[in-house]
Amino acid sequence: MKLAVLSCIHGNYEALNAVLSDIDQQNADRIFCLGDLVGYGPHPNAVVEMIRSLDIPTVQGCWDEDIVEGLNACECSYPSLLGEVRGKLAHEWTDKEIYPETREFLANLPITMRHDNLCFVHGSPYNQHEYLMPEVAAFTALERVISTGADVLFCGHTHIPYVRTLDSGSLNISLKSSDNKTQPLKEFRSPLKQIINAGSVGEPRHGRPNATYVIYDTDTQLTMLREVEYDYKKTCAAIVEKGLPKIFAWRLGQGLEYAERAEDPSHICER
Amino acid sequence: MLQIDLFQTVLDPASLDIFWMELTSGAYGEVDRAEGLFNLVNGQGYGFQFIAAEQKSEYIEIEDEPCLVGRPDRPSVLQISGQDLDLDSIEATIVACSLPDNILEYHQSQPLGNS
Repeated sequence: MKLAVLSCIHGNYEALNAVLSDIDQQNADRIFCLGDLVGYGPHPNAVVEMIRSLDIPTVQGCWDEDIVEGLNACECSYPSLLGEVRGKLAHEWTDKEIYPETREFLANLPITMRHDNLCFVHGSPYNQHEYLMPEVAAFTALERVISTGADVLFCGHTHIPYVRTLDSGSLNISLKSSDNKTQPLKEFRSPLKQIINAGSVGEPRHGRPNATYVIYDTDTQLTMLREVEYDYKKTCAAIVEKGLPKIFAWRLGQGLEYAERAEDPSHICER
Repeated sequence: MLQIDLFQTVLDPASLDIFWMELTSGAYGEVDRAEGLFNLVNGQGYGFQFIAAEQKSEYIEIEDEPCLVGRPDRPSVLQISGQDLDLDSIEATIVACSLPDNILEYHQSQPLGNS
């Protein structure tokens, strides 16, 4: 079975349309979405309506959560004062723009989804705001996958797609009893696990404006990272027309993400 | 030439890094040359220079006593020459990069090296 997994649409309807067309051409059997339907982009309601009308199983992203719960993330969401100002502007604009039914849809999204041996989350299994960067320590990466009980963990949030294979997971444990006798070292080995990051449909961060998503074949376990061109200038024009900061349009055109995110791969979100 | 007086403005380094990249990459109009004297939160002053013809930025630390209490009195200014420069957006971005008093006081109250 061919699965298409997409993430981080961020109110970019043009990009979503292009990705859905590409998914059709790839003959994917099912689509899963890893959240962040809204935030920064000019068409949050249209994006949510499209996802809802196509009945695409979707988990809640950090921006979706923020629109429902309000802003209460730890500093990982705002690595700079400028990023904080821009993030709050985008949040306030989106908060005013979205319809009640859009907010209700976002509020009812699950945090994780399972499909056979696959698990789908936005940031990490613990938190929509936690970044599973490609450089995160192998122990942390393996722990996050094992905690789900799945073999493959799909995530987004970083806006850069990647596949990380954890093929030699081993944990050595030695116990010391109360009578000071040390038990023999025990080794636990984990079968092959993978983290697959779907990148971002509507807010790329790979230096080009193109949308990214992944196709995963459950029979061959092969992953294909897809990069899709679309008319990003339409989204840029809508950003300006709808009163969002002009710099968002410029950054989208550069493939720079609307606002930067934390670079520290070791940071664990404290939200 | 466009000139913005930044006297006693203290900037967040991560924000300045983003702003300078955007400015010199054309986000606020076509820049031929940009020069800045900036005060950062560590109390030190820095000189930035960008020349489009050379496609590079240069940075120097100003040899001066760091200002560890209050706002610095040394000159601070941004000068830009170019075409179609969006002064309003540039000024708004610099304001967003600037530390308000409470955050500056917090940093200055930390032991040296921890802020």
